[in-house]
Amino acid sequence: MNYEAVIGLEVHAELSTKSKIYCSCTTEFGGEPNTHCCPVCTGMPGTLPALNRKTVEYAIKAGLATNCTISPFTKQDRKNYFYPDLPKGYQISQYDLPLCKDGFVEIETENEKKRIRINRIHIEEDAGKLLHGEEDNNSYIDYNRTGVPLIEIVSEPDISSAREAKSYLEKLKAILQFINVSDCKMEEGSLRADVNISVRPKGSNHLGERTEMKNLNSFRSVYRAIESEIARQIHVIKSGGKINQETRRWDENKGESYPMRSKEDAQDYRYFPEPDLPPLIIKNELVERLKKELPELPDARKQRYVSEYGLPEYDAQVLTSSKELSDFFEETAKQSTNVKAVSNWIMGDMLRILNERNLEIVDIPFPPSYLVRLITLIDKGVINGSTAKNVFDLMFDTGKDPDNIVKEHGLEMLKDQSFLLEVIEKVIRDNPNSLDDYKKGQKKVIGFLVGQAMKATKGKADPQILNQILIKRLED
Amino acid sequence: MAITKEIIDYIAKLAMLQLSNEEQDNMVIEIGQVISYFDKLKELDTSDVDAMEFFFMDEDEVESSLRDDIVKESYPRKQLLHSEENDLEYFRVPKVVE
Repeated sequence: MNYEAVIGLEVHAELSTKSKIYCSCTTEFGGEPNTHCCPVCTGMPGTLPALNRKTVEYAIKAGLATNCTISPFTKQDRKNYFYPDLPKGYQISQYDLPLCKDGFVEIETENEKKRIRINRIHIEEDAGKLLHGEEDNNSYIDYNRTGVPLIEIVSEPDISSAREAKSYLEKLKAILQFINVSDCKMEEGSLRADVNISVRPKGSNHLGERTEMKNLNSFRSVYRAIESEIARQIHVIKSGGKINQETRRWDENKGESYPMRSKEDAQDYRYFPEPDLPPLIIKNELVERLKKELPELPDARKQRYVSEYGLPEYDAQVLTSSKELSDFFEETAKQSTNVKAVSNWIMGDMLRILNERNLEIVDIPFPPSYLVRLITLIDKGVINGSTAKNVFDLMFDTGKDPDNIVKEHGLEMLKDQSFLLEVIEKVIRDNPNSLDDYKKGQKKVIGFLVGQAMKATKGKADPQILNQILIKRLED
Repeated sequence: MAITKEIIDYIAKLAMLQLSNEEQDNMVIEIGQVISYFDKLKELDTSDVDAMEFFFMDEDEVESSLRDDIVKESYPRKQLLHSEENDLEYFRVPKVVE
């Protein structure tokens, strides 16, 4: 029997407000432990929360950008549980009246666009960080993160594979970055995902028992954890077992998950309306204003790259996968007459170098105009393609502009015919067999000889002229 | 609703409290009395009164209850942690393991 997976994601994104959700402490990442704290966010008795206006606005923007309905009347609720990372003994969250609901985003699957429905987006506060003592019998708590505003984005179980889950997450990340409400740095924990997974016989309408996987803080973890959990569930069912509804923790190093010790009764959160905060009335004017403030979203940008610049869908997709990358491309394309080349350079060499050097777009030591000039140098025939690659590397090393690098290193293409002929003569002298091979009809030697000549000129020969001269010489 | 020892036991577990037998017995009585006040309230006929989840607030009041996104100085850590004497950087609790 064939099985299919049914997957839903709960994504937490920290909002990039300056101050926390209910107090004026900074939300800045890092910092000495417990220095971004006050009596409100550490839950001292007698303190009162005051909701940060920007939290509401950012969450509404996230809702609008994911096609949600914004609730005109919404409230906050207490979710009660006892764990030391939560100083008040409850988390202020939203229960039955979330701020945004019934949205969707579109993802690309192998052969079609697929709509992943969003059940709800609500606001809540983040918890602190716990450290467990190695040698003593204590745990230690840093409350700096406590009270940083979060949105929780809950999808419907519309996702059917690890790949789709990854695409969905990438799409959400791109959207939240484009609208500037979250920096979505998974490595800093500002974007986190919990995944609900069940499997069922293919084509069945019945939902299988599901497990929840926590602690997924990279795209890679999400992908691997889902693959592994689907395989595990199918294996259990095929060997006649039953799936237990449980929470599992993913161990990225081991590449496997294990059940978390079930906390008895832990699911009884006894939600009730937060008595310290009034309900929220969201005026239509506010929603309209925020709608106007929304920038062009990734999907729209992608379409524009296809229609305006004539880029292939795939290229447009990659270039709009992050705001920084897209902005860099946009800036470069605006100044260049050769957008296809811009796209190729960014998608090819630039992403490769960033990857090799472990850099982010913001770390690029030169402005987009330098890439425009590099491409102009190639188009004008000043340098050839392989030299350009070296120049690009040097631009990353030094941050200098390509014209200067070319001048400094004497990298202009060699076009002088008599000089190139001399080079060719020497290459043929050094490889006497090649001439015979050519006469016997082995045209492959052309490539070899060009390669040798290129080597002799340190890659600076004009390949076209070189080719012409070589063929003429061989035919003589 | 009758408050039983089982209910008290359940609530205590959720609140991570350990109650002695005697304390549990007392709680049954005390919480039972509180709950019975609500039974008393229920006797009043409110069929023609709209349900109200919140105290009344108009749009402007809601608006003015929101805070602008401005960072202010946090609390001195020594005071927050009462750590004048021991230089502790973290809040310290008995070890909790999931």
